[in-house]
Amino acid sequence: MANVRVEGLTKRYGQVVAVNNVDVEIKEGSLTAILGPSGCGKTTLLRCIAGLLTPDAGKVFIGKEDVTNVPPFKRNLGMVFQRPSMFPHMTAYKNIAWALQLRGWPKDKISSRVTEMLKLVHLEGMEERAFSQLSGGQAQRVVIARALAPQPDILLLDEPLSSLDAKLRDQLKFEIAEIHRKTGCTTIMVTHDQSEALTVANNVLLMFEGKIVQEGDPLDVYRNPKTLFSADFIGTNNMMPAKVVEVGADKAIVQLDGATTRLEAVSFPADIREGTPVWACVRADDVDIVDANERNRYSNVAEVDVQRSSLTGGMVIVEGKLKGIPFRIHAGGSGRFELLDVAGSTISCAMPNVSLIHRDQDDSVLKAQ
Amino acid sequence: MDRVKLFLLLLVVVTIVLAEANPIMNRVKQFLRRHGSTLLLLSPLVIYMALVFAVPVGFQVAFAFWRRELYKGVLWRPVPAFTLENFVRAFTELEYVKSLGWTVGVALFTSVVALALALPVAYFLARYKPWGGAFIELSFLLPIFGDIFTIYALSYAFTPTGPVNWVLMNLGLISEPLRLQQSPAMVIVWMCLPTLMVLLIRSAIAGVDVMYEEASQVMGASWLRTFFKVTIPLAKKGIMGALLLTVSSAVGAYTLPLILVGPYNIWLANKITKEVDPYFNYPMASALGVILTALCAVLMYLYLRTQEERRAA
Amino acid sequence: MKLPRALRIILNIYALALAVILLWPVLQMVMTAFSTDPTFPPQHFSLYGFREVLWSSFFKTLRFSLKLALWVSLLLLVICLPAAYAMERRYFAGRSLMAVLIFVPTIFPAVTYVSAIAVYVFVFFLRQRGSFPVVVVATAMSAIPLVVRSIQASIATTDPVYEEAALIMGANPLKAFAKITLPLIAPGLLTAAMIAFTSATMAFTGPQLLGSKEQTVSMFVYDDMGKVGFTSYIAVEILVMQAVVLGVVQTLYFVFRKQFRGLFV
Repeated sequence: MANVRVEGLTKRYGQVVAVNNVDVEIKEGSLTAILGPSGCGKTTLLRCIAGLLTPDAGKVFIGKEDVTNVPPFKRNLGMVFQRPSMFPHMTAYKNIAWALQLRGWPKDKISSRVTEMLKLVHLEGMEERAFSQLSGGQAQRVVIARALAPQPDILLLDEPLSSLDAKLRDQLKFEIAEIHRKTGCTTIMVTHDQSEALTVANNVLLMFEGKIVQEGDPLDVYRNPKTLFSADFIGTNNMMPAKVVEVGADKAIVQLDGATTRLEAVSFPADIREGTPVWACVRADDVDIVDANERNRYSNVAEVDVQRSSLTGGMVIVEGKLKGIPFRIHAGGSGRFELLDVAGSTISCAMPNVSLIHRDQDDSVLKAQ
Repeated sequence: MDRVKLFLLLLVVVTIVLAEANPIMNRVKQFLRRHGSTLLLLSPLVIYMALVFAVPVGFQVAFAFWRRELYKGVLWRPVPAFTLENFVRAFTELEYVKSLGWTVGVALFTSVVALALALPVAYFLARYKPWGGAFIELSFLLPIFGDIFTIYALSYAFTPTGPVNWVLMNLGLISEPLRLQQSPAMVIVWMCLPTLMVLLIRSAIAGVDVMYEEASQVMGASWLRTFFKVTIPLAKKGIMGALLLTVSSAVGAYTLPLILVGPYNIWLANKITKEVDPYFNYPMASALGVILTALCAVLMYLYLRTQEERRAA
Repeated sequence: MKLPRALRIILNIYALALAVILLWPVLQMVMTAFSTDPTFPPQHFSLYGFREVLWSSFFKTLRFSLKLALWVSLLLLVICLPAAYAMERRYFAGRSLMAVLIFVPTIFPAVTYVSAIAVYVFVFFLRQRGSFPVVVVATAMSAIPLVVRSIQASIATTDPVYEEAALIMGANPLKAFAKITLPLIAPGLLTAAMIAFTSATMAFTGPQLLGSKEQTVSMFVYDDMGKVGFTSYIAVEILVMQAVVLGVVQTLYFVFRKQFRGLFV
């Protein structure tokens, strides 16, 4: 076990900068997810940590050792790949045993360790199965067992679930979290699937265009987006242009542009002043629909003119306008079906969690989408 | 005194050179660290191809302009010169002109016939599972893999007591066995039969999505029109490639005429080896070799041009 | 495309007819090998041809051909395997140039460069002319493009992820190649070896032009035919020659198959 530190890491492919001067520290024993859209450089970053790529600039430390120029086979890592990587010409047992042999384990210990690992991934009794005799999920479990067997310093997971079908992915997701709890091995998982990252990890690195834009525990990253990109990428956010009117110690008050509506924000950047243009972000699933007569009992209540509401099964999506700004509500709970026929009317919405983001920064992201 | 000065000057020069060379050495080192293993992996093939292909072919081009000379009265050897004599001979002496014309003419003619014979069967094999598929498959593969075997078998088939004459006589077409064995006609007949060509065109056609053909047929085009207006244009690249390979192998045909017709056949490849072995006229052999190679290069160039036009269109 | 039924039947008959024409000489050859004289249809069953061949020097030349083919195949694999690997897995400047260089010999008639090599050896290496190593090195040339291409194709269809996994597991690149890549590309290597082996046993004029001291089997058969014309004895020689080549190739195939079970599905 060890921590991982990356300093000023840059990797280019020709003209394209895949990873741009990234500094990050991954704590010992954590399960860190690197989350981002495809092409954001997350896999490149992971491959630099693995040693499969040599960075153009910057350093990689595992523990205290600078491993930037150490080849992957001397780094004591375990890795699970996106594509199936169980060696098809070896049985499950051989796959895991070879990993141990390569690390110089004595023969008598290998057999018991393989059995132990197969038990960890729920594949007892499948020692002699070859790749062709295992399902996709089972083969991926063998690879996880193979990666963990020699007790690596770091376990690297490169989109480990993306080659599996939806149901299996869901199941294995929890298994990864459980295996991490049992072994405590420092784990870095790369994924583009936010639910995977939020469910499994205890630390999320959000990456965009070669840079890490936000880091924190999953709940924090989900509830308090720090950049326009985080707000846009994770979940569905309502972005309302506003101006700051008052800044307090733990809350700030903003006024929506072109309206008199004022909102209280609990999460905001430290450097806002009165008059700073901001986006007021409200998560679509973080909105309560309240009785207009009781609106004084809630803070941040506003009226939404509903245009359409539709059923998706797990939730009801209500689309409308709040003071002329497009607004979306993802309503859950048993009362949600009543919302199916509110089109054309006006409802009152309470927004307990409003977070603020500077409006001048990278607006192009939203426009591009 | 002068010596000391010279020594000092030398020292300065050496220091400067070393100082200048150091970054160069570093770059060399860096290059080797990044690409050293790739170089190591490639070097056996590169060295082999250079020594066994590039250098001999280079000398072939050079020898083509040399003269030959009797060495110690026992050995003909090429001596450096610049003469076009060999090429002039190749293009004026009747023996060579006939050989060249015959080789190229037969190659072009047989390739076109083979293409016409190959297209329908290649299409059929690409799109349908024929009855007797394995047998058909084998028949196209065997002549490629064991071409000597097939050629020997052929030479047997054309003997006076062989099956070809037997069939012709039993059909009543001839009353006496034909002497087919030494006849170049048999080479031409065999060259017209497509083997590798069928397989290449089949895979070219298989690479064209059936969807396009179906779309064309739904739009009301007949199968014939669809084949010529949709399938062939889309598979053109592969078909041209197959044609190129067939023509260039027919231009360079050596074994087939040698076995079927004999050691004094008219084909150009045979003339080249005759110049090497019994005549020891290496410059002449080289000139003929260069001509044959140039022919293939021209074919290749034409082929690449059709590819480019396709890209531009 | 949907073809009319009648046309489909015609095409099938046409394909079969072409197949019969292409295979007929071979089938007839087999029949002739088991009869007394080369008339068609065969008159009397006899093993006369086989007896004759046993007493001739045919097997000596066959042994030489097999020896030649074995060395040529080994040489080709040693040269082509690393290069094919680099072409497929490494990205370097001049990669497409390399591909062209490897492709060039396919479009040039073999006779031209075989005679070029022969002349080159004649002029510069007269002493080595005809020695076995020279014959091996020169005979290997014509199979280079096909061998590189077939190995490259099998490497291309093998996911690099296996090698990366092996590297992470702690295997050095050489070990990763030997334990992981090599077994995975074994079927492709076998194809390449088969191509190399067949092309070398079929080597016709090359060894002779190079002044090989011993005859290859196909040249021996050719000479015999020149001497005695076509007899059932020649048919037997050709048959045995083919059977041995196919036999070696098939044996190789089964050995590989046993070794790398599960990859030949």
